[in-house]
Amino acid sequence: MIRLENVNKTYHTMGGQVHALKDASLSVEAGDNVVIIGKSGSGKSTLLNIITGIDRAESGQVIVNGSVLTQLNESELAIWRGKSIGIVFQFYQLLPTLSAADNILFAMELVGSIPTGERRARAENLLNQVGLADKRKKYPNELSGGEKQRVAIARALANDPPILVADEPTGNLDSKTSDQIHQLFLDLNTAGKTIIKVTHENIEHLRYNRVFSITDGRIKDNLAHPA
Amino acid sequence: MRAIIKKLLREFWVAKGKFILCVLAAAVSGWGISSVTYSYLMTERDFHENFDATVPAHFSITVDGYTEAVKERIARHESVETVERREMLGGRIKNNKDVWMSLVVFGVEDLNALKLDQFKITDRIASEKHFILIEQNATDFLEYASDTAVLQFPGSTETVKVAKGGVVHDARMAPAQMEQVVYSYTLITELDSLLPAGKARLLIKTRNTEATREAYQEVANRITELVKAQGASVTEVVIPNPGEHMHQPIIDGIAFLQKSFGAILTILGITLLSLILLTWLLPQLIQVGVIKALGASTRQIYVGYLIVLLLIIAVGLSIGLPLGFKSAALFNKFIAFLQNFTVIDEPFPIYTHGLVMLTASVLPFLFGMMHIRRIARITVREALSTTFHSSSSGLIKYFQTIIHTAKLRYGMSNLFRSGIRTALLVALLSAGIALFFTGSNLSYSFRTDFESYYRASRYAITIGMTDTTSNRLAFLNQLPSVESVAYLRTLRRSYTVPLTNKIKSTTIKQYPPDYDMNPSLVTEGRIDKTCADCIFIHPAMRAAEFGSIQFGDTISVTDKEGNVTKYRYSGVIRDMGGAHGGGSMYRFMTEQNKAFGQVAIRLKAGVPIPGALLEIEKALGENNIKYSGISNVETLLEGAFNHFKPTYYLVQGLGLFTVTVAFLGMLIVLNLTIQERTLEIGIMKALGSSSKDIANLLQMEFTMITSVSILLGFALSIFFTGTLCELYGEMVRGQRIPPLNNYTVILITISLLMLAQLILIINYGNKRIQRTSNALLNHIT
Repeated sequence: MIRLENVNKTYHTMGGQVHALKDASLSVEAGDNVVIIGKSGSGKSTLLNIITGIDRAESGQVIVNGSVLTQLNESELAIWRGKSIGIVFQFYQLLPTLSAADNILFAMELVGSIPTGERRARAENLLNQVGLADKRKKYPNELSGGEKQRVAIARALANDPPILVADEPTGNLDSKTSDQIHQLFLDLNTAGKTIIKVTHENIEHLRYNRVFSITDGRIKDNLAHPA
Repeated sequence: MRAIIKKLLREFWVAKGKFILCVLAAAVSGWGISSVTYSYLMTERDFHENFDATVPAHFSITVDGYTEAVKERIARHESVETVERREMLGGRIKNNKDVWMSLVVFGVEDLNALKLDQFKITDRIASEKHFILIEQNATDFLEYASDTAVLQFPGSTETVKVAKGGVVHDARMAPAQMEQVVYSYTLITELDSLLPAGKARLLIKTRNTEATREAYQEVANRITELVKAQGASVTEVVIPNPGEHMHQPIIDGIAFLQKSFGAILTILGITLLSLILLTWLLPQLIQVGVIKALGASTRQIYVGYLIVLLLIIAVGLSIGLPLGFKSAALFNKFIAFLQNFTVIDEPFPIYTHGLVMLTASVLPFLFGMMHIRRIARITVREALSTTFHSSSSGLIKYFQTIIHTAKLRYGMSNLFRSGIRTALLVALLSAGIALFFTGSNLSYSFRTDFESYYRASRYAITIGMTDTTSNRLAFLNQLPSVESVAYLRTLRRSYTVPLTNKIKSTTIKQYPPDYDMNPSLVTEGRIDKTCADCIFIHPAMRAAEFGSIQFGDTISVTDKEGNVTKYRYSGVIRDMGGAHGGGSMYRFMTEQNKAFGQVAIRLKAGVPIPGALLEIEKALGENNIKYSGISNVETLLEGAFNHFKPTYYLVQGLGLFTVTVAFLGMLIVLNLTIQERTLEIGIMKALGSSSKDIANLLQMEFTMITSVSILLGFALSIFFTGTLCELYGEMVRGQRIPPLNNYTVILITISLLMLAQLILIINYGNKRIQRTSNALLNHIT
């Protein structure tokens, strides 16, 4: 489902050149529940950017959901991303001027893969799935952190992507809410979604079937941990 | 506080473009205010130095039975300060293209001792022959090698050759280019043979009299009695509006526009400054929060930012004030041309500049202060919050319920969350659109109205006659281009104004029974050619003096011998030239005019006017007919229209300028929008949007702004057109000109605006989003 081969990525900053990924290789199969761990500055966000097509690799091969990302132009990447990947951010990143339901509808309207007549019902179903059926008219500033993240997950699922990528999804939440969010990801994995979570936290309490660690831009495939 | 100022200056040093924009906005604002102030000071000074210096007569009288003794008796009257004879004679003069032009010759008693309505002799060539001095603005028309001018006067088919004896500047007269009239000056003795025997025109300046028409009329009445006692009579009294120039209504109109221009430029500058200050201050919100968290007080932040604002305004004014002075000088030159004034070039005293500087800096400072105050008072918690808006206002929620797609709801809420900015942009754009449409509407309304007169006139050519024997003009009917001929007479009469009981003079135009008037010119009542005592009046007269008159009511008219004739009010006739002096009256005669002053000629269908004119002039010459001039509807229409051209150009130019500035504002807002929505654009990218999709969303938002501005601008233009048509119509024509919308120009302008906006966002916005996309996305993840 996801295959990275010898990927390199360098950034030019005021402090000099940063080699964010060095010959990084990784392989994830459909239905995997993957955790990528790494310290701040290790290159895990860059890795996520490369997988999601947000950023481009300088060298190496990136194949995600059957598409060779290095061969797609910006528009094609956008369309591909909308259909193939759902992204969940650490700080939720909901559009503040839209209600919970509208944030989900907005994502569907941008991609256009869900028929117009089915969108509203789907948005309500997704909110129901994340336990927020009664909050559909609420605006982001009227929701708690956990609720915002659940709306963000529902939004990531808006276009029914096979892969769900989450960047520190519980980094900003208390432990009880974090557990609820992790459970939600687990349920989605059980339902067939490929999950990739990036975190710098202790992963002992997490359930996953594969784990990668990243240090100074190099990926190490750790032992699988039964989910 | 010093640290805050240093920080802000350092930021400006890094983002020089932003600083330049702030300064430019302050410059535009300073330009607007100072241009109005300076041009007011300049026009006032020029008026004083030019017009007042001519020692204007308060009124003039025409005396029948004139002798020097009558003049001396008037000069001794207690209310008279000065009296001077000044004759005025109309004729025509051959210009450098060998074509006849209208001529007015003023005859003076002594060229070296002018007392009233003075003019300056700027060049004098000694001549022993008969001579005329030419008003300086007419010299361009007469620049042929010869030192001789060829003239012709009413009552004579002979031409007269006189020496061009020099050049005169008469600040009282309109420029020849504008009026298409050559003003000239000579001694009364030179005109003796051409002037009616026993008649004289006297200029009078009163003493100890209030400067009102009423007070001058009072003195004129007493002089009339005095003249009567001397065995002579006053046949005409002309009282110009006190202290007003010949072109005062047009100048007043342009001055009104100029003030509006300055006001709009001021608002424009302040709006632009507000927009740019917002782009400077909004991204500072978080920093203000941080500075406060570090221990800075609201006052320290407030004063620090204020000092930087003062610096921006000071630099802006150093550009704006000279620009204001220059544009005021240009405007003043234009006004001076309309008034035939010499521009006074002397510098203003320093305190005047100081005063202008103070006036120009107050408004931008107050507006800037308002924004800074808001920013400085923000709490740390508010400042450090990641959202820069309130998303749950009732208005936004209401709009969200009536819009069906989330994309549109997103666009709409964006307009509201940056409400002040949207409002400023709409204000700027709608003001520009309104002005541009108004200029175009005015031009269209005036032309349509003028054309309605001239086109409705079934008589394309009018000959001013001195020979009043109609049986000698039978040949006109035989000309190939002529359909029919009508002989018109104009009588000078007086009447009592019903509302005020004051006696006013007017003219009665008498149409012969065979005159074919277009019914569209009769706006009230109906023509009955069998009615001998029916009388019609001009719309200006109807509106100002006969408000409550009913059909059949009596209008009493008095001739110069004091005989009163009673007529029945029968309606209103629109007449382009009938507004002067309050309006004319009109009668349809049951028999032909025995004497007449004009011959109206109706041309056969399809005959072009220029060819017909040549044919008629030739026939008049061959038949030895004396006439004073020939006019035709085309040149009259152009002449009338040309008088208003400065107005249309000024309004349209101002509109175009404002729209351009509004687009500059739009560019600034677009930049700011992309800058402050970095996160949202990143989110949309992550959700699967391409740069093009995001640019389309922006396009949708800006289309909403442009559409609202167009609607608002259109509505405002209807109001402005109506107001200016009324103002100008009443000032110049004595009646409102019907306002019309020039839909062709409006539709083309709307299409161009939409296209310009489309190009701006597609090209600029899309590129900007694309260029920064990676940085934006990295910011998220």
